Amino acid sequence: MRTILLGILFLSSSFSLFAQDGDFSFGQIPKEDFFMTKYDKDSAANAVVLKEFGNTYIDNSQDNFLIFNYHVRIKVLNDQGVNHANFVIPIHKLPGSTREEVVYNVKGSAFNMDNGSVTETDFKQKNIFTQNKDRYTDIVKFTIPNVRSGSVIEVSYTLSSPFVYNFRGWDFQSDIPKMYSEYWARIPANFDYNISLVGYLKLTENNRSVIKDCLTSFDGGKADCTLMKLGMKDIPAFREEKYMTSPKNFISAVHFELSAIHRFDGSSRQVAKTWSDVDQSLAQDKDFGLQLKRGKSFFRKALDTLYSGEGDELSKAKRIYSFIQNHYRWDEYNGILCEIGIKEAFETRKGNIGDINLSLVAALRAAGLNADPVLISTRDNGLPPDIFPVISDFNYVLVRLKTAQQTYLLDAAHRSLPFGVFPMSCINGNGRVIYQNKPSGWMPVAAPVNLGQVNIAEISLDDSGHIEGTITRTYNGYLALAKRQEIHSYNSMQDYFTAIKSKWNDITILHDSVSNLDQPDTSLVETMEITLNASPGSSVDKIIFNPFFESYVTENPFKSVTRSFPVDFGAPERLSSVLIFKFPKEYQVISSPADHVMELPAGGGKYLLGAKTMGNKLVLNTLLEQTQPVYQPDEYPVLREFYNRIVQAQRAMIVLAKH
Amino acid sequence: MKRRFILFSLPLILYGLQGLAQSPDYNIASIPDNLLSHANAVVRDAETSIDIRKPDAVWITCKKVITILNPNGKSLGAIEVYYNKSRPVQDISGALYDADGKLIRKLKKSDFEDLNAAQDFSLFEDFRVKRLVPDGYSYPYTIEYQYTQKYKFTLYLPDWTPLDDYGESVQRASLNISSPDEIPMRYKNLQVSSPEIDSLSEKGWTTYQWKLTNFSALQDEPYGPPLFQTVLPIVILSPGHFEYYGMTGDFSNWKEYGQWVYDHLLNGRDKLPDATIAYVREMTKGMSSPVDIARKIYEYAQQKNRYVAIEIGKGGFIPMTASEVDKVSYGDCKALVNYTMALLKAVHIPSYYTEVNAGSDGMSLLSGFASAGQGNHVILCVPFKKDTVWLECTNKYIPFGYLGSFTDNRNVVICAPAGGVLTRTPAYADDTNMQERNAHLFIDSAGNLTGNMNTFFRGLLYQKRASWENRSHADQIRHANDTYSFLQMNITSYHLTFMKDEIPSVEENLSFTSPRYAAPSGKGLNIPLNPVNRFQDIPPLVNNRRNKVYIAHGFTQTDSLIFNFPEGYMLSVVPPESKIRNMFGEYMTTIKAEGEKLLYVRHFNLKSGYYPAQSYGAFVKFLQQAATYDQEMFMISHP
Repeated sequence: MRTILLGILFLSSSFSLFAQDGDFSFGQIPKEDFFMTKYDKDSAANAVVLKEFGNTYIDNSQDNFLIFNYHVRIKVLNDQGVNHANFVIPIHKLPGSTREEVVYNVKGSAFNMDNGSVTETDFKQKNIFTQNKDRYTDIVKFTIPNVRSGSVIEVSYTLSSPFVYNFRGWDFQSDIPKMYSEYWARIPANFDYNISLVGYLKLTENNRSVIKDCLTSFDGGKADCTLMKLGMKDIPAFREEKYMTSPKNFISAVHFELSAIHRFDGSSRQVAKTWSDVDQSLAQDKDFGLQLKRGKSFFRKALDTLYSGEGDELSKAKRIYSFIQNHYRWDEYNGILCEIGIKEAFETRKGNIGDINLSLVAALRAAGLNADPVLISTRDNGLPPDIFPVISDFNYVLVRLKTAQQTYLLDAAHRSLPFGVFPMSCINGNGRVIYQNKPSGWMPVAAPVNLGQVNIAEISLDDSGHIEGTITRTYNGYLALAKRQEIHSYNSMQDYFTAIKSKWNDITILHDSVSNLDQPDTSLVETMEITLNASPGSSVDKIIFNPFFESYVTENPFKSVTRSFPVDFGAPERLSSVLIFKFPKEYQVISSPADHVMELPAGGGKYLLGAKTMGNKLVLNTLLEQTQPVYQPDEYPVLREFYNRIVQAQRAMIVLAKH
Repeated sequence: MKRRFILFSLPLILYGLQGLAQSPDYNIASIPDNLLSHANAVVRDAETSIDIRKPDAVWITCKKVITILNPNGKSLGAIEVYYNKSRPVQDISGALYDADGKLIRKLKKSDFEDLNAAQDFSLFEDFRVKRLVPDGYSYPYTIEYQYTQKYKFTLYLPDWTPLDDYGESVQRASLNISSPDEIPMRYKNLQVSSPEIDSLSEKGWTTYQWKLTNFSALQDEPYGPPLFQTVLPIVILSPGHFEYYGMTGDFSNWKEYGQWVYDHLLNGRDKLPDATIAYVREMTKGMSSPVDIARKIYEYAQQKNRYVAIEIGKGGFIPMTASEVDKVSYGDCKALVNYTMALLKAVHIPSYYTEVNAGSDGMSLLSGFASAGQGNHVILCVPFKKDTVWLECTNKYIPFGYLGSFTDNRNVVICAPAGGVLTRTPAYADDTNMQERNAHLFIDSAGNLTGNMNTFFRGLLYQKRASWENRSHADQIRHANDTYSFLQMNITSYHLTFMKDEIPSVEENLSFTSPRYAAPSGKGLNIPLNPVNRFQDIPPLVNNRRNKVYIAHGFTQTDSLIFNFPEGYMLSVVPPESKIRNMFGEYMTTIKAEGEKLLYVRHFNLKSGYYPAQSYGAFVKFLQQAATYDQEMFMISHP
């Protein structure tokens, strides 16, 4: 994601390449729009926005003074596209108050060309449905009649809002392509908004002008307005891809965040916070700073015995971490604030992320350790705001522990996490450290461990053509975490073993055991006694089998030929496997997989495959390494081909024959 | 117990509270061992009371105590009450207990979410749900809750389902009903024994009671018969005399039910503007075959209209009028069936609104028991002299007369002016469900593959490509790439031809390259034998299986692949042939080497039907064998 401060952008450049300059007339549809059967720039599009215009301004003569006009014209290209005739507009309200947003002046029509003449079917106001979604939101719904493949749909409406905070943002990009989209924002000098542009696409229209005396107060005070005209041409559809972080980070859009209000009497109110405001209010927050303060003295008493033990900083911290980790059960809610409170959470042994991890901070501080909360936005929540602090954009809190030697990031909410590791969902840009006695600051949040696994299979063939042996799978880092969570999702080990027993058809599991399941600081080891089911084409004289039954890659995960957004795995990966295959002297290896060495450019990763026969033993090694957590779209073709070649290399058999 | 029915002015809710006031034993130690095996939750005590005061005033009180044993049981503790203006929630409360049965906390009204029940885009009256999934501090924990809901109608009553899912045991559950003698209750027991109290009349009130005790949790058994109707204990109720949004009625069989639906919900809603009638008559002028006329009309309606979910009008039971659909060109299943019926009427072809329980589970309306709410979808029945045609009206592309696994082979009720008729939709016999593939594949010495492939899908297997019809070509190619993912294809040409005959079929033709398909080793190439139809969904084994093995739909697939080797290469490792034939079907392969060619034919057939529970292990083994053969490779080498 790139966030550009538009204010800065405007100073250096103001341009207009393809401006349609304002709204277009309803129903004045050029003939060629009816003859259009597909959109050349995107042959997969079901519908395309021909034109879209929005405009927001302030009219202080109304209670709902923030006025947003919307107008769109859509071409339906096939029958899948008819769903774009369904409109859903969320509107905000305040519980216990009459203040709410209102949608009115809704106009909607379908235009169809039949036998050369255009007919318009408009839609009846009685077919607008308002539905209560929750305490803060209603949903206005309507659908346009007579829409079919080939139709042109046109809709316009006005939405008025009493909430100065809800200055409508504008998504230039949606799930269908747009030929042109333009947004005007007319902001009186009384209001300061922080404006940010998100996404990879570039504006083709970017203009700012000043309108004199656009707003008059009750007592005749006047203010100028800034009129911003932002436009984009030929906007591709947004399509989600595998291995990407939140779409919010990529959809091209402009956002407005209220920062200050200047009254006509000359007074002003700062609304948006600076980080120092945030630091201060968090310190005073009864669910954050005050919890930490009280929590510290609470833990000093409650965990007396935990603190009295011997040991250096690190061993003390580990003792406390392990206590907190095992004391609480996470209630599956995220959050940066305490939901229950440190004291009550301690007693009930349950809490949200805020309860548990702020308890950890307090408990560590009570032991005299240097610990601070770190605000995080999880991967599905979008990147954290980097210029203006918007506290509600954070949804998770980690714990930064600094010892004399090292800095750790801790999360005590999951029993399967090792000390110093946090869920991969937290790896999403920077985290904000809220220090105790100095201003907060950013810190990078990168994967502390890899996705790691080592599989060792030791199998032997006997005289009767039977193959059996053991498989040892050692899970490390994030793969250990994932495996522990998988096993814990079963009611019992028995259930787990039953479930995996028939999972593979090329091996039969005779016995399975798992060790270190509840010791997250160590690798998770699964040991299986198996028989290998050689190809049905085998006989005592000829043994054929696929030696990649423990392979990590059976199919290329990247099907699409092209890629628009980075491939984000979250963490580097290291997967290796060893097959040690012993066979009686009477046999001889006829065929085995060819050796391979492949590397991604710039040390981005490698794949090794080596097969070696020594006497009556064949050893097959594979190693797959991805050193980067993220690969850019321009690296995608190489990454895809890399996997293609791995898949190919592993389509090989071992063939043995009796002398 | 009987007192409460005499004092019927006393709200039932008080009785409920009395029940709660008895000192409860929620300690998990008092759960019998047999209820713990395979269980994620145990219903300790549940009581549903249905108190019918008048045909438009029913008080339903549900009280439930359920112990959640582990995280997989958490969702079984969900409290969900669906309501709207005609069935408001009067009261809802509860409490949470720990494993020892000690109170943790009371559930507050504000703990409940109050959400709109609609999910996708739909136009409708507010139908809402009060929802809470209580969460204890550590497992196990026990949830106790009760709510009262008033039904202002008696057209249907909620089914009694003492357990809702696998992994749920029941220690004790009961259903109590009281109704005025003038409103007799009809009921149907499914997997439940007869009521303890069966229409006991006293002082003008009739009571009923069902009990279920000591019921051990069911295991999730793959390839099991449909959970509802054949596995779960359920009581379905239908008051003999009812009201519904000011309408009254009674029915005791499907004929009367269909009559009521026609008279109250459909009659008079099929009027069309004269212009439309004239238009469709003109459109079919000169056509003589009624089937052809019906097809023409159906295709016209398909092309004109689109499906939008609408739940307005008497709780969502009444279709939009035909003239309204004519104007706006959209509607839900009821509206679109009613509209198509009206168009057919305009050309003098009679057709009938038909209720069905749609879904691939194949649930029938109960043949001996009529009640409202058994169906969830509407289709159109068009009887002709020789044959009856069934029309699905919500899909713009589905072939004329095709139902697919969504509504095939089950009891449905036709709602005709002369009354209801329970009948059965046609089944797609195993031998109509076919897939036939021919592919020519060319391998070069580096292991790259080029090929062209032709596949027919027929009968129920038509559904494998049916939804691709309205996609753009680029989208079809993307789907094909995902479907044939083993080939990692670059598709050079792709074409689908839909043949909408009585048993529809679709032909797929594609040409592609598949770089790096085969792996070189030494002087040879390792070549996967079956890149296009690899069976992989092996169901997990189950100990002590209780239910029969059920294969809902049978099919036959034949794949004929010809591999052409690069020049000079000969077959060096020959893959094995399979000759597996058993009661479930067969999995046969033949392999022939002809010079620089290998001919591979795979024939896989599953037969629909019920098989003994003990045969499940053999069934899994059969599928495992199929998967094993599908993974075979062969080798070619040059001397």
